[in-house]
Amino acid sequence: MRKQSEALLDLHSMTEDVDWDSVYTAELPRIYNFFLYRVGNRELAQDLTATTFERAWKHRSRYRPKIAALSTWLFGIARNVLKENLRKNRMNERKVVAISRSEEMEADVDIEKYLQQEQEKEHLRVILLELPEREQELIALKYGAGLTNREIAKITNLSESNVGSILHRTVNTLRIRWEDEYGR
Amino acid sequence: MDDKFLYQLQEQPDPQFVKTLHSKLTQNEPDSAWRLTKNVFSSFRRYRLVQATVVLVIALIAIMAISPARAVVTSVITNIAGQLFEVTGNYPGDNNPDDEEIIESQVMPLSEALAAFPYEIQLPTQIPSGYVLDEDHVRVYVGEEAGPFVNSIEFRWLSDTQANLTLRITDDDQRGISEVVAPDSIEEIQLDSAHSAVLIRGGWDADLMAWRPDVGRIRLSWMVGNLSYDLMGIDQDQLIEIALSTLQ
Repeated sequence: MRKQSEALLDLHSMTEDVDWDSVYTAELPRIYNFFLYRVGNRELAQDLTATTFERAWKHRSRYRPKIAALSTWLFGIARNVLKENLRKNRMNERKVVAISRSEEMEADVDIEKYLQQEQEKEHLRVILLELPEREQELIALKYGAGLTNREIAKITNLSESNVGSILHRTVNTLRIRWEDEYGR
Repeated sequence: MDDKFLYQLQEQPDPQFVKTLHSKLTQNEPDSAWRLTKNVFSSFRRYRLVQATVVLVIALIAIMAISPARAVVTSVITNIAGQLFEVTGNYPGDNNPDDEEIIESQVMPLSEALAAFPYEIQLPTQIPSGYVLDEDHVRVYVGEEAGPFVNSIEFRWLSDTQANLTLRITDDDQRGISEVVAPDSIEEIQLDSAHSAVLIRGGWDADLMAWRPDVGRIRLSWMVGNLSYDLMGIDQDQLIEIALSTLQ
């Protein structure tokens, strides 16, 4: 049995300032890319990013930096937003599918090369979406959001070594599929 | 490990999207509040549920409330059974009626409520005899209007002869946010070899502006995956038995 007398943290050390403007600038691309890797759809990634930040902003006065790192807190919200969305999609019997990007090309772009790159990206999106959910999430956190294995471990409640071994196995699987298609 | 090919999907978000969302987040906020939010709970807002019992109101105040100035001096944060508590002898509210916000739940039948709640949940399989789940009136808090209670669901088991049981399940969006309790009001309970829970005796009384250990109800709080289960009743053994049945 453990009682509150075993207090861990003194609130006095927790009254730090947070520059939320900087948080927005730094974290928004990471959250957006996390969603982009998970859903393979730019518009949906924007919607989920907006929901995440709106929810975070509503609760931000109650965030405490000494209890959880900002990225842990924000990605915790992002994961919940994604779960809600996946559940909603399941209920509506709709599947999230990858879509191609439609953007304007520079005038001097090599069209053949550009189309080849887009095809490769589309293929990568498809094989990512075919991964089991946990592997998809770890790949999105690592390669989409650019988090370290330690940060991912804190967010997912997995051990750091477990994160490392799952990622290693998953990347190997993806690389084999990638090389089968593109031979490199 | 050659993993460079996995980075190629990264892209910068559309600048117009970034700008629009920023404007949406910062509208109606003074610039100083936006740029630098002092990370103490600078304004206490008391939330109250419509039609909830007095005891439940007391419990919810405990969940949502923190008083900054006094807390800095006397509070400590503790982590018990994976849940955070701020322990203080000071009443966390200011009893300002202007700061009270009414959050209304959506009341619906069980099947609709389970469909509306965004997570799969494990309802207790062991409920003491004499209790019946109120299947027609399950309270659900989802969407923007749910405010701080978003993604919560609440069940009641009714009895003609005993005090009702209330189970609230909520997601872990609030991770990093602690519940305010009084000293000597919480205790860790081992449910089984892998799960522990927190027993909370009493609650904040807004009228007395103090913690009342004798409100007649106790709460047991435990985690199942990313969901927090909070069960209110009067018999500790009964609550533990119910909690265990959600872990099977």
